[in-house]
Amino acid sequence: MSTSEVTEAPVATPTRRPRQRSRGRKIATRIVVWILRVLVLVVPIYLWQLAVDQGWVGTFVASSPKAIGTRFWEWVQDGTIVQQTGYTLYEAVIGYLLGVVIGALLAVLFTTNRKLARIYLPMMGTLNAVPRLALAPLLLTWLGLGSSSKIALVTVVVLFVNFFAVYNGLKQVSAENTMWVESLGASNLDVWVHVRIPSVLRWLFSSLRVSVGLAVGAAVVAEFVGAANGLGYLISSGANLFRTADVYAGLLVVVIVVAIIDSLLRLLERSLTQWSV
Amino acid sequence: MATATMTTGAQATSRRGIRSWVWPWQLVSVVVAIALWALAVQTGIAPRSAFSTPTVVAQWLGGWLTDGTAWTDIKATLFAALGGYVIGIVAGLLAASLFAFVPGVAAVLEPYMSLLNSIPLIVIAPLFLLVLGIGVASKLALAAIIVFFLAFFSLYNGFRSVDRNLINHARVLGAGPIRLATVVYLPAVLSWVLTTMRVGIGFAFIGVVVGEFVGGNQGIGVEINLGQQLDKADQTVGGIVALIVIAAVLDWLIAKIESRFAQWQVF
Repeated sequence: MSTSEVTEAPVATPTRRPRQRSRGRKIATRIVVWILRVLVLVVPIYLWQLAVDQGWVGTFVASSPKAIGTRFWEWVQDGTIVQQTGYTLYEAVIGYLLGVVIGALLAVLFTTNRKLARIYLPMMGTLNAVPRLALAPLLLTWLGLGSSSKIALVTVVVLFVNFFAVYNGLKQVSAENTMWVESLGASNLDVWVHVRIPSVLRWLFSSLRVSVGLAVGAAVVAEFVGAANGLGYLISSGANLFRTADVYAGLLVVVIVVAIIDSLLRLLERSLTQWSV
Repeated sequence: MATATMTTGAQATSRRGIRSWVWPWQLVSVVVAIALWALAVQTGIAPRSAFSTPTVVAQWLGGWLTDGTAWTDIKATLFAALGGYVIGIVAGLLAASLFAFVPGVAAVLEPYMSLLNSIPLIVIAPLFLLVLGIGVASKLALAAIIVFFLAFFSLYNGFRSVDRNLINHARVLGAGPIRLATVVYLPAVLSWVLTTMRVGIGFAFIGVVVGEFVGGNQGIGVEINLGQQLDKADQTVGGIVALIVIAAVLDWLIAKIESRFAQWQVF
């Protein structure tokens, strides 16, 4: 790895030959790695189909890659995927925004009032250890079968993550930084506008990728517990009707949706961090 | 701010003194919250059908605790959570070692692992219900798989963050693989293991409770969900209260263990 390059560099004058050879080897290993990656994906799927075809496992438990693919394609064609994904993403996004705003406001409150933090921070820690998804049935009875009970659950889940992210972020805004600004004559408001809030935004952004999975997961779980729409409803109604292919296909949709959002955010992150210092 | 440095100094000297005024406030806050709950239901701000009332919930909790169902429920939930927790951590440790020490494994499998890591694995609950049945196995498996990914990523990062100079020095001094593992890797990874242990117990509980929501015959999650389906708000809220108490006690226990071991931390 990098250590070998470091040790080689001062000893041998880097002639063209060894460098080219190592580059060729690098490309070769890359190709091998990619072939292996594809095999790791394709071979189990093939074996899965084979096991079902040969009757080694029941279709009730395993469905089959073909059946799942067929169901997925049906859903693509009749618009089910777009519609149900839309419901779930709507709940996740609104819930996320509410959770971020409430969590960030609480964090600001806790950093400005130290007594409050002393009393309630340990309690926030305890609540953070409690499985908040357990609130889903309560929220369902309270807010009904529609999207608001799902939004509320997403809010509660996202709130804590972002509260701790912002709170720790604000605490880490170095005292030195704020002192520099204050010595230049900045008021308390200036410190917030020019030092604290920018760093809060950075912390929120870094917790965004974690929050996406949490938000979508919370929305889907809330839909498991009771809903008439959404990806979670699609999956759980499949399970209730013992339509195994529906369950697998629904999970596949969740995986694809989250993977797309995650890679988009990763791209955004990369282009943004190039600017930051 | 100047106060920031001052309070940290004061904190170190008079921690006991601060604690003595924090405790009563926390207690008062809990009491006030319960009173507000009762008041909100009384005045109709919060619907009784969803929130019940503190006294009715207390009655449900009393009945649940005395008629023996509490024990079977708590046993089922704890068994699945702790079983999945242990399996997940051990499997995560093994997989992380495999990725860290067997060349090529990480290169091939890393994209899949990071894809799976971005997915909220909890959504797999209905599938486990179909495949593993309504009993404890599906909950245990759900807890195990969630904890597994948490432990795997945390420990894999831990292994990778070990200072290479330290390893080379130990090698030069004649350390074999076993000695390297016990003297360099284990102490370095210990802090990662401890963090994972604390976060993991919460993850395991989430897995089990959601598994019980989706389908189960005993457990605290089953009580909560049944309360919703039967329109018995006291049962839903009572179950949630029981869950909060159990999770808080477990978190406290693990924090105790963590602070014990954290004193050993060398690197």
